[in-house]
Amino acid sequence: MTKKKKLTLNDISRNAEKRLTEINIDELIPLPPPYDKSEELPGIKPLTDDQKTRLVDNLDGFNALVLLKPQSKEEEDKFVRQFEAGLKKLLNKGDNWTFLQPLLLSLEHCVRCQTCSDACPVYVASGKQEIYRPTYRAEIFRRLINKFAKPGGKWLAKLKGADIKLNWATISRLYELAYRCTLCRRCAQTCPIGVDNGLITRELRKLFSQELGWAPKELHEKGTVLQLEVGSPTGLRPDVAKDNMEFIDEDFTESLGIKIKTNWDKQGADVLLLHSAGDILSFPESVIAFAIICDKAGISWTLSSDIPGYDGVNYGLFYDDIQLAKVATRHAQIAKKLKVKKIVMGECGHEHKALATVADRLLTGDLNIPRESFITFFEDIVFSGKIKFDPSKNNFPVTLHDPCNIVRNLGIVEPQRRILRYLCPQFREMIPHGVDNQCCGGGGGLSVMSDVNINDFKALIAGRMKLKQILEAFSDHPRPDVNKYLCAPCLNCKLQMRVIFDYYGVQEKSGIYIGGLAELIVNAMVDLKKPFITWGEE
Amino acid sequence: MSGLYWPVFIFTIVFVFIALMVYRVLKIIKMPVHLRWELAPIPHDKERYSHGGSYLEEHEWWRRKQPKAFFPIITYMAWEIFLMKGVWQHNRGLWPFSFTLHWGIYLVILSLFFHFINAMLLIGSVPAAVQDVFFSIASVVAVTGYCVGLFGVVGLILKRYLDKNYREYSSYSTYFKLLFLAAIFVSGIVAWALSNDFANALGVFTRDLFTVDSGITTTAAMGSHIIIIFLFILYLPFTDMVHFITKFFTHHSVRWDDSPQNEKMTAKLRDLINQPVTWSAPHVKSNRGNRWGDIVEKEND
Ligand code: SF4
Ligand code: SF4
Repeated sequence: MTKKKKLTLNDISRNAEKRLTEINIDELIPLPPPYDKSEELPGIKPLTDDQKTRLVDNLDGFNALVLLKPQSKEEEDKFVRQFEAGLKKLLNKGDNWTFLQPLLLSLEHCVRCQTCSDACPVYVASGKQEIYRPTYRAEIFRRLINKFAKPGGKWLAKLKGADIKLNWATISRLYELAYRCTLCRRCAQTCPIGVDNGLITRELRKLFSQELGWAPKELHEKGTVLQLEVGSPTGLRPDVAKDNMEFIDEDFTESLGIKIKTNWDKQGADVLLLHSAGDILSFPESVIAFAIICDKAGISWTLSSDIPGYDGVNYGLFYDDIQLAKVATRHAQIAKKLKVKKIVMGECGHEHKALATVADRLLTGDLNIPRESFITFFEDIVFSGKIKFDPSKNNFPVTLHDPCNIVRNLGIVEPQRRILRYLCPQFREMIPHGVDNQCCGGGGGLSVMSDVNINDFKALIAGRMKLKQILEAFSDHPRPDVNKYLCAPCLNCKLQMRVIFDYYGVQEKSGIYIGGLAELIVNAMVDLKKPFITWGEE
Repeated sequence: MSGLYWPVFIFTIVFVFIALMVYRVLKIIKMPVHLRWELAPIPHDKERYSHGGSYLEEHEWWRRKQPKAFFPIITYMAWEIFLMKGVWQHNRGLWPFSFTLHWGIYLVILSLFFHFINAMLLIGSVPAAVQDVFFSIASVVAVTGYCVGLFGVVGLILKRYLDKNYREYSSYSTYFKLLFLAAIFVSGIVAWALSNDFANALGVFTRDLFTVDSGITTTAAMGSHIIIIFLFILYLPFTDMVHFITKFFTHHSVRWDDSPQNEKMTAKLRDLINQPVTWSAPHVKSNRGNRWGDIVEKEND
């Protein structure tokens, strides 16, 4: 094997046609057996001939964004000029009041100490590929801002020896590279200065979206745009969502032997439950578990069938302030219309961050309706004595994944653990956990992105540290003969885990099943005669 | 340099330094209120800081006022500033150099303070025995600072140049900054080595400076050291080394800013939402001037 040439910052603007780096699976950090044999894995799916002709493929061999090759030099130059204009807008109070202060603080004070590097799950899992270092992307962006958006920037860049060319190669690579970060903010947590490379990445994504109109279709066109139009990025329209739920209610009523009925559009209910519609399609047991818990606790609750009141996701958080604000405002308007006392955010991490904290300064006046996490809501119910539990029903190995957006970004750490310690006799922690958790690898919107071969990146690199720590948490029962429960209380995390589990065959090889927190609570209820968790059986 | 050039040179620099720092700080403070972007753990949440929790761990948290503790913030910053705790935890290989460089700087600053005290003692004609004690302290503090700082800065220069993890991220300006710091420490050691009564001479110099004595003078070595220090002070506000102040804002104004919206903020937010937007992507529909609030709400009509 020839030794790789060390990647430099200036390489970003050279040879627009060539990949900046090639990923070799054998260079990634090793996984425990039986996942340690790279030759037994599906590998990295190569681009088809058609994709090679049409798509820009100049980063690392993965492709998430399906960026079409420009037809002419003029077209390339147009995009470059737009990018340059966007750099200036990021520093403009009117255009970027939302994040101007955090952005400038992060851009102007990094001392390049690299303390953040080893905290990054992507960089570390990749065997420390330079291209994924948190500061690689951030430093290039910083140098571009300094050069093109600040007075005297061009000659200062030369004087300081921090000059970067802005051309088609630079922007096309930066675009794809902005989606090799999960916005998990582990790097930010370790920075002694308080610089946030996750935020810098998000601002870069925002520039592409708000100025050039470039965003992954799963997040924009089929994400926020579809959500605002029809109700949900899943494509579920209100009537279909209601039909689906009716069917699911009947199904579970029959299998569990208790009456389950989803409440819709109940005016004046105490609680508006804001699930992710993806749960209705992919993890319906989660939505049902919520209904059972609320009913048993005597809570007055409702779902909304207004667009997009039955889907709490807000992909704007990952790439675009305007879309973020539109979705959050709409959610608040729906709650206001229903006259509910509070919104309870369902098992969706980024919904929590978008609605509970980020949008807190977008929702003024009577739109600022109280918003609570399902975790504290459940904790109150579980320890209220309203429901009787038998923890022995959950006597199987359980570990907890901490969604970055709930734990590191919101500081909700202990209530879910108090529930699990009470209800799950074999609960064990991953190492590290809590605010030091490893990201699932699907953060920042990656979990819903699946174009070309980005799932291979998610399984091989972004989610590698997570897989490693899940396997280690269950190392006392490595084989599939004992069913093990991975509690991941976030739809996007669960979807990403599915990608990882499918890629490596984790369920078959290790007997690990993915689910949420609500299911564990319901499974331990004394009143429920049949097990709620069925380990993949219908 | 002799005579009145010294006070003019030094006080001008101090004035410019303060003005530039005030300008930088005001620029940060006057930036618009931003969307929340906190990051756990947040030290002012005293009850939950040990596990990284926040007030959002409380059922219906809005029902009670959430207290903010002051002491844990001070402790956090003290560990960071004096022990470089973050670098120790996450970047052990850099810590010996980062730690010693910072302590070198702290000690040199402390020695400046002692030279000032010594100048006051000289003006006040306190007994020689007392002055000698303070001269000795000033000497020890300064020389320790020079040596420790030099170790750190040389280590950092070598690390940046030889270690591939740092080299690519180190520009001319990075090395210039470090060499500038090295020049302070080296010139300090030279001035000390060539002087019989280093602290005494600096005490006298400081006294003459504050009394604006036209007879103020010093040796070439000492003079060079002083000039390098003050040129560095002039250069500092233009560099990322202002993190000694801005770190306060990266933490307090962003990472630990978990304040829910309040009335004062609402008024500011209403103004911000009224600003025109010029983003060009079609979905923004800014038409180069539509207001932020309209753009968001129109969609929802
Ligand atoms: S982001 Fe922070 S930790 Fe990373 S290199 Fe910059 S200053 Fe150091
Ligand atoms: S936010 Fe997470 S994935 Fe992105 S650079 Fe930082 S540590 Fe890496």
